Amino acid sequence: MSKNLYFCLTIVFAFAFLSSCKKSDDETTETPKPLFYVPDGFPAPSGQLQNNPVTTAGFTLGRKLFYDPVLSKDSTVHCGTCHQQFGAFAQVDHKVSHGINNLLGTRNSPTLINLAWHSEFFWDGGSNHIEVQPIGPITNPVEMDETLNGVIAKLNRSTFYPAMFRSAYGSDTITSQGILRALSQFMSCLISANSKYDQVRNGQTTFTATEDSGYTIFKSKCASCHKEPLLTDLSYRNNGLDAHFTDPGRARITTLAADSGKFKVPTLRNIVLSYPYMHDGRLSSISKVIDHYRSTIVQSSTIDPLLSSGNMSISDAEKAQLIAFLNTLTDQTFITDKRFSEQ
Amino acid sequence: MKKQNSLLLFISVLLITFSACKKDDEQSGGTGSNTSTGSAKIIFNNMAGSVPLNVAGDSVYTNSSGETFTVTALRYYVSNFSFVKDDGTVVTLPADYYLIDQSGKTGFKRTISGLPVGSYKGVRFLIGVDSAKTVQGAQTGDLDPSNGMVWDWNTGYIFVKLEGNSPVAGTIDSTYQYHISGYKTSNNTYALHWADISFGSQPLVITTTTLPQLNLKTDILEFFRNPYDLSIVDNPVVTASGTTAVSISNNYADMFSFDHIQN
Repeated sequence: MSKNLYFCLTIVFAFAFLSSCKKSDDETTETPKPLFYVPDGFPAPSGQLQNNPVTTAGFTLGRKLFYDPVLSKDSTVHCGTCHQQFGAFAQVDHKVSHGINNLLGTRNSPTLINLAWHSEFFWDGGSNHIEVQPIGPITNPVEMDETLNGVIAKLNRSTFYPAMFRSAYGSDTITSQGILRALSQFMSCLISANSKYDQVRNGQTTFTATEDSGYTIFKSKCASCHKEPLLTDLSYRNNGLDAHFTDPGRARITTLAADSGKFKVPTLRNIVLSYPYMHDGRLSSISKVIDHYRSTIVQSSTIDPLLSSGNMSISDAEKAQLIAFLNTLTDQTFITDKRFSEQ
Repeated sequence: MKKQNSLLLFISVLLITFSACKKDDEQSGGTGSNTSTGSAKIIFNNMAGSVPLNVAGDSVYTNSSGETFTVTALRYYVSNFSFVKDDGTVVTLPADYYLIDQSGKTGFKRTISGLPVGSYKGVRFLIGVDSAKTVQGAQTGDLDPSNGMVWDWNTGYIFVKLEGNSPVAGTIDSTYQYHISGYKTSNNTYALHWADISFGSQPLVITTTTLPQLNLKTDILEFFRNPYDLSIVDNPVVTASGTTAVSISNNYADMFSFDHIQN
């Protein structure tokens, strides 16, 4: 009896062992990644998905809404207008956002990358949650100029949205919360973690000598603000663009003069794709951005302490190496992933 | 993988065990042996001094700076209610949020349930929405952002919204606009206040069968005075947090008062 039991147990363990082996084999070859996941080496996400776990139906609804111009007052502009996938979800070659009726915003459309690791949004951090962030562009008079009630009314007239809401939330009723949570599910899944930089970190490949030299320069001159692996420390800083601030930046939110001219440190992931640069899009290329840090830093009362000693010393050769490294931050998987595209 | 699963199972069992324990504790503790509860209706009577407030813009009022004005909108949040029993015990209710809107869909008469049976001498509530709720993302019901009581550029609920016209406003259509908010304790932007209201000699009697009515008054003249003289000509529009908003919030902190109770 006991012999049989041991035999059975051995068989069971053997199967368990084999099946676990098999599973890990599958995992190594598995593509694509799940909709939401934490890439190797990333810190814990912000936790803002806590009440809004990602589901396929919720993500699909969010994507539909993201690319649907009914979100704007005259149905001409959708989220993807200013957040283009090929530009890492920024608006390529536009200094500031373009809204309905050719109205211009005041700031450069930021990229939408790894937002589940952010807990504040916009250049000035004025939005405190990924779920309420979309209210900003939807209702801003120079962006989509619509009301939440206006969007709800239009979605209720649609032939397919009620069914999509039922799939996502179990009810046909279209609510602002349902809209906002679906959008935040979609945006949270815009995860970029498969650039050459990531592959080097994961030991899958190696940098060229030039890229490696650029990485060394990056670590000594850039990484304290563009902190790895998100390549932003999510803080607000004045990087020496102006002596006087036409846009108060972070001070608009905190009301503190000490925050004047400070803006959120953007991620450098996919940075060569998301030109132009700075909060107002004033610098048209990566080359000009590096030139700013090595020759035109302006001192002011709120200049970041890390830049208060003046321009950085970066030679032309080092600049070329740095640009080679920044190019390794481009994630082709991210910008070509069909799941993130308009369907 | 298997190991993780069994660990998860173990943790789940632990959690279930603990939560079961917790439930028992709550049932035996709480508000004492008498756990039967009742409800009360709270009625916010909006006033301009001694006269009922007209929010259709048809009546002219005068503030403490001698400026005349009309009112086209008055909306405010009250939340986090607690009631004081005759013996001084404080009964704190779950953090519910009520948008009081005389002319809008949420109304100005709200029923509060879950009050333990007994006699009460006072009520306490927060004017506005606390920071804990403000950082939790998209909400529903009274806190639905489609109610138009949120800021999108600097996330937060508008605690008190007062709008109307005044000949001294100097704006297009002579409108004045006050959207007062500020939930962050830093940077002198904190505009949250508690209203503490005593019922005097009239107790609020909660039973399992009746629906007593607690009538409060909301005097918008207090919005303009004590301690800060809000002048429409100087500040026709206040729609961001900061020192002026905080000063106005100090004014309206005492705009609520007791009127009467019908048990």
